[in-house]
Amino acid sequence: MTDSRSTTMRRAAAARPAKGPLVAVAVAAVALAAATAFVPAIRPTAPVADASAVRVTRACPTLDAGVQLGLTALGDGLAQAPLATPTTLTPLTSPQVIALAKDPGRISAPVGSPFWGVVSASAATDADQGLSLAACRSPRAQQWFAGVRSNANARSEVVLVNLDTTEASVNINVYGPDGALAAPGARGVEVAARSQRILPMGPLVDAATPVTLEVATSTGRVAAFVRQRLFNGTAPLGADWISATAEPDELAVIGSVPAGDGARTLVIGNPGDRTAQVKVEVLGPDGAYAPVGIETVDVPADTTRTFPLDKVLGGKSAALRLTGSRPIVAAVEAATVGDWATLTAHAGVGAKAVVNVPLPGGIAPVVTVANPGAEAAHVEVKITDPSGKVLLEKSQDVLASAALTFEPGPTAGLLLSVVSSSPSLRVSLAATGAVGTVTGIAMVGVADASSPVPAVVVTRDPRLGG
Amino acid sequence: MTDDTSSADPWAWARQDDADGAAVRVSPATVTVVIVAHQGERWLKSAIDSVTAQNARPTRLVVVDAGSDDKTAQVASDARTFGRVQAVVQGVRDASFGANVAQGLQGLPADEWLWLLHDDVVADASALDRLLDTAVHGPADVVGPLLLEAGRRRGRAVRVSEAGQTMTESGVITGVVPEGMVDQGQLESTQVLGLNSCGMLVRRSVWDELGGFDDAVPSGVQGLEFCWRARLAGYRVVTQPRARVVHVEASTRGIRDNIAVDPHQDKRRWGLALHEAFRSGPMSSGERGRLGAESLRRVLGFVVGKDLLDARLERAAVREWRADRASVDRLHQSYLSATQGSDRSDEPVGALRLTRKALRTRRLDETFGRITDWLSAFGDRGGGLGLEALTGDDFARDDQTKRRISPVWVLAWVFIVGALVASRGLLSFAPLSGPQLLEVPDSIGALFARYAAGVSGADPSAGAPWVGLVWAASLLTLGHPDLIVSLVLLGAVPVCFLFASRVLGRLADDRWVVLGGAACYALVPVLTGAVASGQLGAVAWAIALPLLAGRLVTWWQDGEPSWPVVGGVGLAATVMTAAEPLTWVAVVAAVGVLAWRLRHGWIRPAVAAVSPLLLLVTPFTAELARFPGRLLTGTEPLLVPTNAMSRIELLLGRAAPEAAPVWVAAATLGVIWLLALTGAVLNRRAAWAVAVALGSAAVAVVLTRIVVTVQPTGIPTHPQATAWTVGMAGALIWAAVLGLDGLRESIAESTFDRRHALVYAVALLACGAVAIGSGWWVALGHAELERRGGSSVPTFIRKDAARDSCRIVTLDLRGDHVSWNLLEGDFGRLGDAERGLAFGGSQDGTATAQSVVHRLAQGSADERIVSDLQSLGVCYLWVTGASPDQRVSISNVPGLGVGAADADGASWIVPDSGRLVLVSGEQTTRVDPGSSVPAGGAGRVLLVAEPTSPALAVRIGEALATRLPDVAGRAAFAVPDAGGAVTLNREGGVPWWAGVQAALLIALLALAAPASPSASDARARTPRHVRRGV
Repeated sequence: MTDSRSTTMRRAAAARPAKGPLVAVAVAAVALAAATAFVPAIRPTAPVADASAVRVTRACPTLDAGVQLGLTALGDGLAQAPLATPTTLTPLTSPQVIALAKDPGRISAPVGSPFWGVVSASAATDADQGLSLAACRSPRAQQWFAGVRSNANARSEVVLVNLDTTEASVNINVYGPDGALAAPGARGVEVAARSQRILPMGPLVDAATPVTLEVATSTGRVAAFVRQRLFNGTAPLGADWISATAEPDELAVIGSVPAGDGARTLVIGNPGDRTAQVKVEVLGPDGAYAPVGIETVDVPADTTRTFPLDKVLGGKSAALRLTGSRPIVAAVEAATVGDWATLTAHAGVGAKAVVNVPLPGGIAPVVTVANPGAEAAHVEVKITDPSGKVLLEKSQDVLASAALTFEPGPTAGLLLSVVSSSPSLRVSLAATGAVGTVTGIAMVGVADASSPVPAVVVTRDPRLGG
Repeated sequence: MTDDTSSADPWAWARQDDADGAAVRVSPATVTVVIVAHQGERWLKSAIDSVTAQNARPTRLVVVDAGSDDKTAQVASDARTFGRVQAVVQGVRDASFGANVAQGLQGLPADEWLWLLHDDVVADASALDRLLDTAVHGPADVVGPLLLEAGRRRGRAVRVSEAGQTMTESGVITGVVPEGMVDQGQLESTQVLGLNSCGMLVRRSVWDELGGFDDAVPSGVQGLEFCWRARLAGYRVVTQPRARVVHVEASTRGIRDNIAVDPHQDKRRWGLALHEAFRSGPMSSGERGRLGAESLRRVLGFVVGKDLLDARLERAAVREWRADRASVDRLHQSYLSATQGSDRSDEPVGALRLTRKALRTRRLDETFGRITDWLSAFGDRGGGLGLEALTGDDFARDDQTKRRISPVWVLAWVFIVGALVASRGLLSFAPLSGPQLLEVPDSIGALFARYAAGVSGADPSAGAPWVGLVWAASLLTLGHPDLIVSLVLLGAVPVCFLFASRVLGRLADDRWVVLGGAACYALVPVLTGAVASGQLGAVAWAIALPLLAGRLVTWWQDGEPSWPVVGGVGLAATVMTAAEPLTWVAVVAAVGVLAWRLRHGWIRPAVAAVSPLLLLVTPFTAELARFPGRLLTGTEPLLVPTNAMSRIELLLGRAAPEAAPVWVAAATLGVIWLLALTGAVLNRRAAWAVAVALGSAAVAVVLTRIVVTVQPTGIPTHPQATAWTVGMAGALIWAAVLGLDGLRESIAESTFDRRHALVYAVALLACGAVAIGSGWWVALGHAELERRGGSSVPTFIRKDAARDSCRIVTLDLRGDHVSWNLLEGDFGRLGDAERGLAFGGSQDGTATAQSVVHRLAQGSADERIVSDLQSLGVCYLWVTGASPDQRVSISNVPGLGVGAADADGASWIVPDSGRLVLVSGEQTTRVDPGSSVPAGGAGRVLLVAEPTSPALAVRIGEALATRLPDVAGRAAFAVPDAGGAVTLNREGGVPWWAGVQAALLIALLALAAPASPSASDARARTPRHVRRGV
């Protein structure tokens, strides 16, 4: 009965034209069209991790006589802690200069608060005579040092700072002028947790020319520095830190070769297994040019080669751009009467950097801004003295493949602020001046400190591990 | 006793010619026939005619008119006038059948036999002869015929009303054979406990000796009572099924007017009285209690079967039996009188009663019979508009000489085989999992805990209601949750096909259109990606949709819904709402429209509409109040992929990345769109369905564009809207079936024209769509599901987690994105994502875990990582896909110990960490929950790495531990010197709200269950008893 009823209803309904269904279809179609056209897709965002919980820590080298540590940070939270007790944080202000005693410094700041530390030391006599500068750095599993000398007239020691609570085991590979050098005793060097170990290179390496060191950990990580002292027999020729160079890459940029007399030597290391053909370019104020005689050099596999720059630069300041067919590391060694310094290839300055460089009085700093890129960039440089007096303030473009120098004049310390339109600009500082009876020289690169850790996106996957 | 032919050949009944008028041996016996008539003008003449037409002519026929106020007396008088009735006696209106028989026999000579008949009978011509034959040659003293149901069509099967009476051990009077059995001549003469007074042939001497029927006993019980006494007195009581009498049962079925008390009530009450009285000793209290319990069970059974009238009658009958002690005593005296002088014991009588085992067997047969009927209905037209349905003949198929295999079942079996092939890699006992399906807990208890237990740190809270439904459903698989989940997911296609074919069969006449539509719908859960991604809720929604639609169609066609229809709507809506809460709005709208259009009252629509609200009887509702966005999502919203499907993909039914490829979707859902639009052009009513489809699509598009936050800590996600995509596809199929129905028939008698081309094109497209969709389903449709033997996490770590001793952070550093998870217990299982997984109740805890993972992935190796992991109770870090540098970086985390590593990953150990850590001076010890802390000195502290809420409590020994200020993010408790077993004071057992929810669900299930057969009988009786005020 019900079926016949429904059949009748169905037939009857189908027979007569009805507007209701068409209206319903029209309304639904409009709704669908509106939903399709006007409702934007919103993607759920993953919860953002609390960045303040993450602190970036760096180690700063020191000497037995102590050093001055200049500190700056772009945000809050800069703090210092003893090497052995990392949780005992002492808040610091920015900028600030503190004295480091025999223990290396441990400075930290939250992620998102870029900070820099530069240690400075000077001595008029003895083995550490001259001016020394070094940038504090984060511990890593692998670090490279180019331009390290170790022979009868060069005493080098590798300073290994372990900030972590676990022991680190370090292996050092040496790349000499004719290939990799055997360095017995340079493998499995144990560095206790929260401690520093100084490893003299003399017993391990004897090379007439500069070598390249690879400091790698098999377990743990360390912040490594090389303290090098040169002699002429027993007469000291100066001392300085050699900072770790950038990771081996086809492009290496040395931000500054200081002007002046004295030897200027380019050191190129090739840790690869094939010969690297390296194109050398000098970045001057007006652009790049190829240095005569060393336009392109070959660096065999596993070797470190040196190339004199004295004649090609003629005492002028410049920057170097090295383009290798294989990944290379590089540094420039500069000497004065009674001192020397090495500036290794380093990374770009980022968008903004502020470094506090403590210097003894009368030292003349020179800031070099090199643009290795193919596009011109704009840079704002501001240099103030410790009292806050503005010594130099410039805002100008840097041509592609060019380098500019800024000379604020002698000062007892400086606060260098650089704002760059291109993060690949290399900014370095060379300081020269009388330190006692010798002409001290020191160089330090200013690297980007805003992203010391990789940016990663983490997503919770409820199925993972289940 | 059986007749000779039957004894010689057991299959004789099948070959025996039962044609009326066959030559039978006429007994020389003398028979007095007494017909007692009351309000019987409708049937009396037929009864008299059938008696006078007997082959064995009775000696005399007496009609007793029991005070009828209709034309009964006139009918009897007319028969008397024409000599067909020898006497008409005025009986007593309110007297029993037996009393009126006695009245009729007064003054008449005592013939050898007495044949008692009601007025609503038609006896076969050979009935009396066969009864006499049995009585004489049996021999027997009381013989009863086979009573047949009336009202069946000629030439069709007839059903047995009664073939002798017996009584269960609970005092229920019932037939020896089940009522409704088809009479195929299979019954044989046998001894019975009792007989219906209607058609009873009794030896007059026995009648006189026993004093006839007991006048105090109601008419419906008099036959049994008399026969029981006869047996006790040593007489034989048998049935003769070959003597057939059609009995209208006018009183029992409520046809006869002026019946004061329902015969069912009398029968039940006096059955109990006989059960108590006809025994040698008093009834024990234990037996009395058993009868009470049995009565309660019957009442519940009637209620479940929606037979409220009989439930009331049962209660009334038991009440009257308990109150009327005098009747029981008097019956007992009758019993003693009957047994006096007889050396027979009760034993032979007891053997004729229906044992519990026989009763269970009968109920089991009935249950299986109903299931078989239900299953066979899938192969039929399902209430469609075929000739059989229009004629209303229940037995149309009984006479079909050419039985056909149902194409529905053929296709269903094809889909079942297809499901097995598609699941070829999943036929194992390992837990099923998928992109959006966490492994199912390995026990029903673990699943229940995920439903009932609160989320630590989020008070009040509980698991999602759908988890409770899965738990309840797993009872069907004997407590194996994985089995029911596997059946739902892997068997979705054939199940959807069967359900869809049933409902579409009610909407369309063309069998092939119905089959095509059902086949298309069956593939929808697969094509949308619901199955492949493991969206259990969406698949359940897809299965429930045709059930809901079928019930709504029934509602529409019936005009006024029965309670099972209301319950069915409520149950399907509950399942669908649990899977997709927004469904409830659509259900309310649909029910509202039905109620408004049909105007049959609001109670039943209201019951159907509010049924899903039982899902709210849980603390989960409090979480919904905090995060109402969950109302827009499906199940396990945290497992939804971050990227929503595009609008075009949604319109093609691709609701998940695991859906069918675009070309398959275009070849299937695209064709369905085309067919639906064609149908809407052909049939304007189909446009309604197209409108529903467009509306569903709009909802799906909008939902997938927005972001909502979900419980327990406000995690952002976006609704996936798979169910709405399924709904869109279902509505399109509905439109196509409505629109294309009848198209094939319309060209049957005409020459080739455009309609032929259209039909062929439609058939080709539909077949192609089904073929392509099925092919993809069988080949790749289940490819994303897997059965994994276990976790990649090393065993020793898993064991610590399984003891609830530790949590584990897992990281996968492969690729650009870092995936991580925080695990505890038996790791992430079904329903855990709704609870925020481990530490889910703590927003701070989750943020800390996220931060730790972030820092680990960044390689910051800061000194706070270990303390953060300790605050989370994490003992192990398990990392996969890490480069050597990343491993070194993680190893450099201050304080993190390097653990084991293998090809899959590496582990790190968090020192001094655990969910429970005992701190005693400088010494820290991990404590397993439930283990004992030894006695020790003062000052010991127990650190608990659980979400720190005021409700967090720890019991050490027998006492609650004193809470101290938190230490580094961990709750701290003072440990008594005596120590003791440490237990977290969590709520255990079954919470009250779960009981309420279960009760409501059971009530809904009972409402949705088919009504018992007695309910329809009771419904037929209802009007009269309503009038009578019973």
